[in-house]
Amino acid sequence: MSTLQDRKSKILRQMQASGVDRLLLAAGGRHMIDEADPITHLIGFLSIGPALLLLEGDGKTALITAPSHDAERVQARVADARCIATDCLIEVFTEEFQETRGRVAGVGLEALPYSLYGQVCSVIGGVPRRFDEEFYAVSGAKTDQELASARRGTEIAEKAYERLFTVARPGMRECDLGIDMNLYMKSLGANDSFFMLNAGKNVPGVMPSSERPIEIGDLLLVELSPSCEGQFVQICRTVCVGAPSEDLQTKYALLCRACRNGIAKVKPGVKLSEVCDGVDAVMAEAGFAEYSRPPYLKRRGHGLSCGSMSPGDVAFDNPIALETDMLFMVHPNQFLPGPGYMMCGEPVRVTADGVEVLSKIANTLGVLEV
Amino acid sequence: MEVLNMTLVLGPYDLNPEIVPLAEYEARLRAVRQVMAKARANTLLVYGDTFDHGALSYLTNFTPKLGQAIAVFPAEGQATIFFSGGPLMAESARLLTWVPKVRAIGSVGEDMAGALASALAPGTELALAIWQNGRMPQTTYAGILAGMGKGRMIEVQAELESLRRPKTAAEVELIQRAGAILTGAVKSLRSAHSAGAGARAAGLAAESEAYRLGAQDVRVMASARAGGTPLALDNAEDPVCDPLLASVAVRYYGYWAEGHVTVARSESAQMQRTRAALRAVLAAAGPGVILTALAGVADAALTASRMLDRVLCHGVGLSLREAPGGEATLAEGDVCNIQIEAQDAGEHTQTSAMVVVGPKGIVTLWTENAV
Repeated sequence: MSTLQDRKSKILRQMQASGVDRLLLAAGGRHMIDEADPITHLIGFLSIGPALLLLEGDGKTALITAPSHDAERVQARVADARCIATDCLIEVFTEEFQETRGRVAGVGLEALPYSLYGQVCSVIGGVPRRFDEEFYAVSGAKTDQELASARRGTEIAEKAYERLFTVARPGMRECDLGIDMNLYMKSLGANDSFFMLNAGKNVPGVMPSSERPIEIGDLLLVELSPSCEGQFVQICRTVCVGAPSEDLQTKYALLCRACRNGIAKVKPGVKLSEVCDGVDAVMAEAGFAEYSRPPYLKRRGHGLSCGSMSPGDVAFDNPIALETDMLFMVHPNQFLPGPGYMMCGEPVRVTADGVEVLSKIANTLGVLEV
Repeated sequence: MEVLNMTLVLGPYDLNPEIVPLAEYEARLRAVRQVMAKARANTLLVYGDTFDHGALSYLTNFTPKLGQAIAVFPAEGQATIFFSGGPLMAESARLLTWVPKVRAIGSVGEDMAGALASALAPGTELALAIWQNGRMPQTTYAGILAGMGKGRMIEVQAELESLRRPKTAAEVELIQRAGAILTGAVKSLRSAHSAGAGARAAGLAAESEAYRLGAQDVRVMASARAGGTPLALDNAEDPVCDPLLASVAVRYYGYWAEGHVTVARSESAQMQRTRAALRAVLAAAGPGVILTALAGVADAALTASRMLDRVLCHGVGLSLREAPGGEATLAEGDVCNIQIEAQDAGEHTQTSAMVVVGPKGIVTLWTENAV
């Protein structure tokens, strides 16, 4: 069992070990799949706008968030913290900050709007010591609640992918297909999604949807990333509009094999670089090593944020060792000569002795019959 | 209205000169450059993000789809837009704007250093104006400062914002078309509520209908309990609420229409007073009227009810909240959302209208009463 309270305890211990009496967390109101938000990470709250949280060494927690009319939602969502929803963020923060003394460190302050950042530093008496690395390093594993949200999100993503085959058709604009699938994911319980869908022939990469109509012969690149209660998850899929060529089928099967090989490496203690190596090895053996590095490729996967991006990118140079209950994506997604860019990826959880793949439907090349 | 920040916007945002002619952007840029010249600024930086990019949209039509974007305008010559995303996205990003130079943000500091240096003749000292939405994060600002080197900052935010304030006839027409979509969306919300749907499902019905009618973006807030303040829809809970208070905003070719409604199986006396208060405010509004005076008109009309201390009137256009606001005076060309929110003995009601201020009075562009 792992809860937000467990996470908080770890952070408090780290504060004590580091000589920090008071920790100031800040959020700017953005909730992205690949960005950190220390307030969401500590207490599970998604702020509408800028927010500040004071964590004292004895565990007392005060959340100050804007605007004031969000008070009812704040009270409903946040346990174990004193919550103040206000339209006068800096004034309330000044009062709260001056209640106690102690050595202050900050996490995420640079996400604040710059004018507010300046005011906060002025109240504190200068730019506080950064505590971001320590904060996230001691709390890389997901809580049970976050994992439950991730499993729900994966189910939603897989259902949305199934829906694609009932609504997509040549002539339909990418953005209209994207809107339909996004609304569907929301109807199933997603609170948001980082959803990229684009189509074309020999496309260089996945990107936000445009007004381009889908055409026969296109590859549809689909990155379904719903968020459930702030926890993002993702599946990456490729769909051929019309009958796929043999070359496409062969190369997509290769990508899926690379994905499985990378996932097979996942277990506690293994470095993320080794997971990347597992994917790269399959591609290199097939003669595509060149396409596994920039400019073709930046990473083979990444963390899935609910405030924390731990364990970071699945990259050849990431030395982070995996721990039980870390959650991240393994996605070989890459450009190959012939078909162009293709997507293939699954969300995985590190178990006590191996890996759990959250997606339940085995990935194969999708074919939209026309 | 403030909802949870969207991770990535999905709607149709391509530049369409049939809707907003390129000559309009040229005229706007000339006006902006006149402000810059008067303030002795030789470079302008315009900042926007997924949530609010009104100024960016005003000058370039560009919509940042997954984060922030920065446009750099020299006093003369070509602008450059830097957007969040990968370099491979540049081709599709170019479809969103008339600005030909569109690049992915690499490092803000390095990008700004390069763009700001190339905006000036050699040996010219940088005098930089920034037009932003109040949300630029410290990391981005620090990058800009680093890129500025020894240049100096010129403050012209208020002057630039004033350019956006009076709406042209063409802009009012786009807002009216957004209002027509809003009407459809609210009707769907009401229908869903009548059929027994929860707040979330009713909100999704509104969102779905708005997109079907051509919206680029839709934002919905709804009660989490009967008569509760509209809240951001942040989880899967779907309570059936009666009454249901909902706030819906739709965007059409950059322009927003916003509505705040109360949906109930039966209309209470307080709801009638709330609507009466709105009618009184609409009757009192006009050029030369101070916004804060309208609050007193609403209060008097609400009699028994206590009006909540919420913003009563603010400008709407390419941003969901823009000038006029606060203690400003209404002027011809203003397009405003007027919202009445009342509370009495636990009952909470709201209603709203959108108006354009004419030379002698106001014209109602949208009202809940019409839905």
